[in-house]
Amino acid sequence: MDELAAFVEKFTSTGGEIASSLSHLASLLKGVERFAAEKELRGLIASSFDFLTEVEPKEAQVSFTKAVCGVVETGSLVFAYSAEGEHLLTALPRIHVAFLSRKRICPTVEQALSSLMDRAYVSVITGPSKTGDIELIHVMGVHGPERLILCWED
Amino acid sequence: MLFWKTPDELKSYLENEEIREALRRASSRFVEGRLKALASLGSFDDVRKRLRDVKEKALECADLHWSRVRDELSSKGAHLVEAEDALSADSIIYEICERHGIDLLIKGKSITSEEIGLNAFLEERGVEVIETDLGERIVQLFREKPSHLIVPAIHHTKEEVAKLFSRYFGEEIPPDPYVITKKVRADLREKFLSARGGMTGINVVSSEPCAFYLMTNEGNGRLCSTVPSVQIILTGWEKIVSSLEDALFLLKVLPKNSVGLDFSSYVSIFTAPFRWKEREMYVVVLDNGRKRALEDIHFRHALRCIRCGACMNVCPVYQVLSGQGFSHIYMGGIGAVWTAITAGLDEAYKVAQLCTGCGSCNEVCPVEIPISHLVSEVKSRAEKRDLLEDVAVGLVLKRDRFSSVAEIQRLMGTYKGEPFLVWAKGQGLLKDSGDVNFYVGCLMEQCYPETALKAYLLLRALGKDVALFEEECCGLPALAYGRKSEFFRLGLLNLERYANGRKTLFICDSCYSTFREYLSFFAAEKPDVVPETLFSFLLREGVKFSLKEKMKVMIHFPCHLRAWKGDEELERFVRSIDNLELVEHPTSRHCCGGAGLYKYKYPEISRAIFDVKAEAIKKHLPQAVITTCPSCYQQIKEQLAERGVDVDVYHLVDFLFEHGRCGLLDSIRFSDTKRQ
Repeated sequence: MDELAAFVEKFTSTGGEIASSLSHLASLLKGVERFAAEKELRGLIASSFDFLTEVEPKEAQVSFTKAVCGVVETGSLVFAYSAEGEHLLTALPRIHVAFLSRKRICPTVEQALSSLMDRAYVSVITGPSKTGDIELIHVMGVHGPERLILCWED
Repeated sequence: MLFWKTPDELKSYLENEEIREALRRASSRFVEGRLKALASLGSFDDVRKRLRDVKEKALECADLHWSRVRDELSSKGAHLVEAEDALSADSIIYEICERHGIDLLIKGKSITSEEIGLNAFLEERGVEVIETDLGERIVQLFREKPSHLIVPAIHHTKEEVAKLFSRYFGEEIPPDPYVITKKVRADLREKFLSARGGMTGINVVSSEPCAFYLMTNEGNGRLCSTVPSVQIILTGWEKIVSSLEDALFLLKVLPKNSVGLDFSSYVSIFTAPFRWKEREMYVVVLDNGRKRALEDIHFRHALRCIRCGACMNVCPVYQVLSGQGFSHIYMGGIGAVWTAITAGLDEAYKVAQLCTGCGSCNEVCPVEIPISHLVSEVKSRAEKRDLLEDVAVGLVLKRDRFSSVAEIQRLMGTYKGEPFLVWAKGQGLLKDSGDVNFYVGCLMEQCYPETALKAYLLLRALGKDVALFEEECCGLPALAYGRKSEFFRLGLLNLERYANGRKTLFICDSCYSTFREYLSFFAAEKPDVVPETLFSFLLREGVKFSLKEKMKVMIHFPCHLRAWKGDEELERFVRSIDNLELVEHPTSRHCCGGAGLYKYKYPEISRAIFDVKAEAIKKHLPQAVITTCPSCYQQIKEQLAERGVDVDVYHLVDFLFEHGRCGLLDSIRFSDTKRQ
């Protein structure tokens, strides 16, 4: 199995979803109205999804971000934040959509992080936010997103 | 007796069937998941060796690492403050709150903050503290202690939680975890956005690169850390490792070993305060006994703990008392040791007393902490003494112990006849030459002299010339009840006596394990002491048994045997017996709750520990339950009788003589096994 396929398998096993195209993504976002996005994605989102209106991150139902890379070993997405408020996009909304290039797949967490340690804050996100605190029953979306969707950039 | 709580209070935990059921469910899920998840890392022994090294290496120069971290943080505008003890850590955090006008502090789960009693300290001074981990939040609103390290509110049903939040929100909340979670999300979201200060613990810190790693599944930790304008990290001084690679290795092992989760949902890595907004970042590094512990040749091992909680999921006492009953602040056996480090021996002793010493914890520890040994060390250092233990240890350690246990039995009307070695001496059978040494052990010799005789005859029938000595106690009671100098005296004496290159054979696994224990202390000096259980010996000699009739049998593997991995050979021996159908059950390897004096000190706990075993036996109704340790044998027999379960219990030697068939057995005349 090549790295990409291995990553996809692992990513979905952690509860992540994959959108194969923008129209597929649109169908996954049915019923959603308010979005927030990283600066460079705003144009793309506004032109592709006319049912969405841009709001503050804390008001948004869905956020659009760009991941630095995907990790095969854990099925994680890695994010490094440089602009103010960017980190809230991956944390607050109910649905988090991350864009990633197929070329940016790393075998291990170590490799993914080694060039990022000069950033103030890096997060490694593996699947949606979850808990089993009440009777060990799985619930998604405690404080973070209940859905994590990956959309290929290329 | 010196109960650390009134027996009634302990009993109240035992009576709560729901807690026990919930804990059992959680533990069995975590234990199963653990094995599956760990498989991806290769051999567990290799994993734990590597992680142990990672921690050891870093602890040796922890101060150096921290000074590096301090310099790096201050160059980036963050603050690192060291706190000598709990009170100074509390005060430091309170001052930070005052300085920045924090009247609401939102918190991620942090056992270190519980160690210093932070919430109460801040609340008394007018700072509102809100826990944000769902389980911690539930426990906080119920105003109680967590019952589990990873799932703190596991002892509450969804109905109870729904009622709690119905009261809290002033509206009807259904007993549906999804609905409850979303309601709490909305409530806490407002707090996240309005709080000026957020505090979390930390899972690991690396010095080069200087970075703090925080793991959560709910995503509360990262909100606490990054949404409010002041970020406070409270970390134990021992949390440091050297490199990114080391930190990540720990983060990969932790959730797997803990709950069988491959990797946590969120690993947040902080290397500096964000420069946007007016953000401040404080790191409070807590000593509170840790540095002193590093100088301590025993307790220093405990500093490697990564708080995965795997040891609690396999702990028989924890299963019945929960983290509420079996803790001071830190839970379980490792908790007793951490209590000694951070709160002193008096509190630690109370927790340590509740440990059965089964050693299951040692087997799952990802950093090779000899937890049960450290618990004995706590007992040994505490000045408190338990009267029952004193009397018992005094008796078995008496030089002329031939009379002691037998005397008590005579008084109690349970005398089983002359102790085996007294009888053997009378027959002129004691001698120090032969092919093998036979170490009988106090309980076998005095309470079950006929079983001892059968084992002796079996060896003779096998054509072995058997060396028999006037025995000294193996010293296990001294070790278990914290009389270490006595243990070492006996250890050296026994090593001297049995250092003759011949195998020393055992029919009591407790004595066997104690000999193995000596070797781990003094191995280099005594290469010619070779302890082996009778059954491993028979297996190696190729002695083949079969049963007269087909029988369905369950087995209890004594913890002391399991601790040295002797259970695998015992299982192979039992499986080699023809006509024997072995009922496999996970509880076969669980502690029976007997544990020497434990069943007398804490009869209710002991009984509760046996419950899972009793259920398994009742379910399968075997024709016999066999074991190879006299203390376990007594416990199983008494517990089954008390519950009215009509199943025969045997020491394996007796079982072979009663139901077995083998050329060897034929050569032993029945009359030989009855002493006149």
